[in-house]
Amino acid sequence: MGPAVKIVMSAALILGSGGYLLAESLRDPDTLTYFHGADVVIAQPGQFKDQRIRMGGHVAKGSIMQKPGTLEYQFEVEPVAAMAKFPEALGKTVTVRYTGVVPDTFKDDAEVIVAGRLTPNGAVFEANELVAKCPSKYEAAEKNEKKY
Amino acid sequence: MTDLGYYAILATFVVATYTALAAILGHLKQSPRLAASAQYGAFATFGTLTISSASLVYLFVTNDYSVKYVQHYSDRSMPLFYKATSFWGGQDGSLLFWVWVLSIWGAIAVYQNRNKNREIMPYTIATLMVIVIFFTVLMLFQANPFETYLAGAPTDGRGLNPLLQNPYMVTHPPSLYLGYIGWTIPFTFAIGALAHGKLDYSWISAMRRWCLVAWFFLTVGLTLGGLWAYEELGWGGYWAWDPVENAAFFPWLTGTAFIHSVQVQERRGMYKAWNLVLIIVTFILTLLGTMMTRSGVVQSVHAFAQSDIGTYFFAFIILTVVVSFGLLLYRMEALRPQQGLESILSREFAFLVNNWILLAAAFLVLFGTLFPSLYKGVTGHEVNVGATFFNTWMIPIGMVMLFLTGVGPLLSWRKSTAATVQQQFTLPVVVAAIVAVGLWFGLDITNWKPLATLVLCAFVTSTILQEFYRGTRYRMRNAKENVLDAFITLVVRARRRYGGYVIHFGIVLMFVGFAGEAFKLEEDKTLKEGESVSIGRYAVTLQQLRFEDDGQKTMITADVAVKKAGADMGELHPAKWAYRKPEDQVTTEVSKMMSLRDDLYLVLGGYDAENRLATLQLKVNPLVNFVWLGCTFTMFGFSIAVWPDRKKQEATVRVRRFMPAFAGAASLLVMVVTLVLAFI
Repeated sequence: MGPAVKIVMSAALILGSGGYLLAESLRDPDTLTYFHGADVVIAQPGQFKDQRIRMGGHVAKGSIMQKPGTLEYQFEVEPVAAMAKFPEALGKTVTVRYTGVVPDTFKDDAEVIVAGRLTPNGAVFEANELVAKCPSKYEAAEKNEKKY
Repeated sequence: MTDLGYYAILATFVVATYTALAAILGHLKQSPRLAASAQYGAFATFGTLTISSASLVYLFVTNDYSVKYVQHYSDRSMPLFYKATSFWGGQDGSLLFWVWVLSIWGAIAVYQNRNKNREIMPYTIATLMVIVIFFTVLMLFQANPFETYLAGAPTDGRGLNPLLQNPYMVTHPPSLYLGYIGWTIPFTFAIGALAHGKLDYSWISAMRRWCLVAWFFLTVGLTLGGLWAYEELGWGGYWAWDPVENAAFFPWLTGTAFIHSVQVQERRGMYKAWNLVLIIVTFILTLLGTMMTRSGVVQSVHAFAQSDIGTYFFAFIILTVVVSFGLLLYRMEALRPQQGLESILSREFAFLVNNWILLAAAFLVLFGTLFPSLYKGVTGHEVNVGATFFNTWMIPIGMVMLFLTGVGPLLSWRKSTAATVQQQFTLPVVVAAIVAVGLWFGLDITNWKPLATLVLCAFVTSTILQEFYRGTRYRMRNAKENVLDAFITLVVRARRRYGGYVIHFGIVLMFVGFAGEAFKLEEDKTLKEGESVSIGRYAVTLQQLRFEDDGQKTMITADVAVKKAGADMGELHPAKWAYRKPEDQVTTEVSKMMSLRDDLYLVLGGYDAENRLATLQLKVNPLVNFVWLGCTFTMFGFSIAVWPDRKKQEATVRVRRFMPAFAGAASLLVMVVTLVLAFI
């Protein structure tokens, strides 16, 4: 074997195995999650059975409820009109349940991203991650979304 | 003032264009007058940009809310100090800050080399000026910080996000910028050398210290960012693989690789082309990072500052790639190595592996950060890459890097014999084995990640101590000095080497801190007044919930009594502050009890004023303070490594001595100010 063949073969081996490992590490559902607007979830709930997703929208005004003395929250998320792919979903909402400490920016009209799953009947989105954002501001807003 | 600031940017554009042309023409026509003129031009851009920056600060301080940028990022109620530092609080001002810092570094570099490196300096100055031109164009056409409201200027500003009104946000961005932009100087020297064709070691010795300075500020900046996240954001960690953090991390990785591999070129005349590739890539990554954090490219899911500057950056990056790599290919013939690799058991090979690992790390972080944007571009679907991806890859990579930190310096250049390997590694391996046994049986640490990390830390530490010990003993015998004299002379005679060891020790301490992540405890609990909860060896009791108002904000504080292993430790006061401005902005005020072994970290997660309930997030973060301690050692090691040798009596020695001294003093000051402000 000439040196060129050796180099090509070892490069192929390294890139191949590296690429395989890379692809494999992205298959973990906690690593790679799909993002959808609330309108997609409203229009086609069947699409998301058994799949962890991230859903984005606005918190509907006055919809935040907290069970007294606990960290259990329930609220409605409405699609963002400007980004909606399914106009028929506008005006409807998705019910989200979340247990845990909410970020300071979580309030009426806040832009939120929730990660979790739809219940099997499609009625409720059970979230275990909640990111909320006050109206945008460079840096401050970016940093705010960190790991809540 | 807006006119002055704006016209100063315009003047910078004109002067920089002239300077670039004068530098190159002066070189081609061999005209000393033009060459001198180009040097003054470089100083002049520093002058004009200083005027522009000063105008912006003046506008902030004098509450001129007719200026959009000032109105967006400050308000009357802010302390003067934070008004001034709002300068870099937003996009447009931060670009001005960027190019201002570049002009400072550039002016120092040009001054240092005013009588040296005559061949490459013209091209270096020209490259520098092209970068300055790019940023001025960006501000003139896309991101003018001096833009005013045409009519109906507001009488008050919107206020700076309270999260940014914090001592760390005063020191963290400048430090990060100094480091980030510092890499531009080595890059301009590299392009200067490539353009002229003088590709011997001279360009590297001209900018070697600059790399250390850039590396140092970047390291301190990253650490301060981590401290800020830990103190202010209230999620209990300091690093979350956020795209903004990653953007500053790629150049750190490639820059670290560069610092190591230039030593191989210095000693053995190898890796010449490779070093050029590394510094070019490092500079491109700083551009990419600046672009990513400002153009909304990365946060495609929730873009914040959508603007066209992304297009400009993209074009400039393409230009940089084409010109740099084009020159590199053109000069390939001159970059042949003088010698080949002789053995795998050699320091140059260890450095090569170190380079591969650091580059692989940079690639993976870049891949994970850009994957969502690429994926969206290809499939139209939006995805998110979680922290698990980064942790899966970076933990093993970090361990290999740590291992090489111990191994590399102990291998000889060219070839290590079996005897030297045995002599160098017997003790460290024995120490590592003892520590492994101790951790496993004594402390019951069986999780392989922290176990392996801590064992490697012990291994590297013993290699470093062994070096100091052997060197000192050698001097004591041969020069007949006492212990202290021998030790000091040893370090002073080979500052780079022993300073480097101290930096390595700082990195080891940081890894000890990273290992502590594996043992952290977390619990959320809602308590009534008088109720208690325990976590690890701590027990906390909610005494009362307090409500106060200071005019700027409403403060809700939980008074919490803490016991550690049964002993009273006093009170902690986690709080939530609701600011009037920006409207309804709430911040979480973390309260923590620090010790070298662990931090008890309390956050007031929520409260119920009616029923007097407080929800506490409790976290115990073991070993976390080793991260900050490690950074301090790194700073110390840097000061040793970068201090110039007193022997060389060149004309420029004063400047050379001044610059690192200045850098060291400035950064120590920054650190001290931060700590003082943070702890009062």
